[in-house]
Amino acid sequence: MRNMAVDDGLMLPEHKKASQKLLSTGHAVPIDDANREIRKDLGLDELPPTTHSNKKALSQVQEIMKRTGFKDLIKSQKAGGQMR
Amino acid sequence: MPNRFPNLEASIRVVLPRLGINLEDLEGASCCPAPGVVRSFDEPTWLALASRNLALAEMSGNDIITGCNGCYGTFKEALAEIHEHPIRLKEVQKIFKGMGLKFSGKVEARHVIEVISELGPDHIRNKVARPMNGVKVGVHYGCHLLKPSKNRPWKHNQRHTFLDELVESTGATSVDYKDKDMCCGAGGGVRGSQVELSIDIAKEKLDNLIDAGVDCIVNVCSFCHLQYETAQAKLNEELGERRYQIPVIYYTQLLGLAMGLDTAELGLDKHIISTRPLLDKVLG
Repeated sequence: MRNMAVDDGLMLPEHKKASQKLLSTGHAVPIDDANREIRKDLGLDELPPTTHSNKKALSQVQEIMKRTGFKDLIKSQKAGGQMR
Repeated sequence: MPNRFPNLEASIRVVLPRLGINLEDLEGASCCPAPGVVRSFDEPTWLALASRNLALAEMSGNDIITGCNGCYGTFKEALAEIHEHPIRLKEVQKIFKGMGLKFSGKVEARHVIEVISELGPDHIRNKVARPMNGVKVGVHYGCHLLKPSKNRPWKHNQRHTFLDELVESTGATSVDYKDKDMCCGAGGGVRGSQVELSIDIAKEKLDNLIDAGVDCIVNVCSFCHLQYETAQAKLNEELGERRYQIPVIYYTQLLGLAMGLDTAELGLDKHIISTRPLLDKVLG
């Protein structure tokens, strides 16, 4: 049902925000400064070995979202989850 | 998990090799993506991105392993979708064309607790150097770990006991509590868009856990973990008191503690809700 609502431009602002993060970073919940520090404290790499530290991988993920139409779908969502 | 709870990740990285399980990073992985969020927005995008992560594992010759119930749900259900509907695999392969991604769906998705569970409670018991005797644990399984039953490896469809048994193999006691199998309140995109409702659901579970007198909650999901940690902080802020102080522990943190590993190495000093009361009980 939510697929149908989103297809009609009806998306909650918080969900749109998470989608935009996915489009720009490859993660719906990207790393932040506090967790970079915690990773270092724990002896882990500051950035995980994901799209966060691999530009080629991020480009690939972004290309997939372009090919599936997700990029345009999110762009077409109106502010505030209003129907188009 | 690596972006919000690196302390849980650290505990997995420290404990699993000591159980004889070697891990290899899935270089270039993306968000799984989340089943209750991205799948509900645009299912074909969810399937394509999940398949890309699975393809990375397949191309490396490994199975994929995750410590998050949401990721587990995504990978298990994406694999079921392409196995049951071969046309979906073709659709994904078409999207991948020219990208250097080879994907046939011949890869398994496993959960950290599934792999530990296969070793069995006796194997775990033999690793215990510091028994968690006297520690009362409220076990939280989490929805995506268990459902849909037809696509999960567990012995039972309901009234599961495997995590309780693994907790008890550390010497701790798994305490029964009201509505134990209820959702933490975070999933399905609820936490992301309706925080108050989400916290209300968590409150009900937390009150039941307090009534049961637990020393900690043990979970196996980064999203459930986030929910129990942040909901307690939020509830305390709203109430202006410190009623909600139950330490929230990931299973490999509990096991690592029982194996005698260093608490900092297990990330037990990086929690939102202090683990100190539990550590005082265990370490004296």
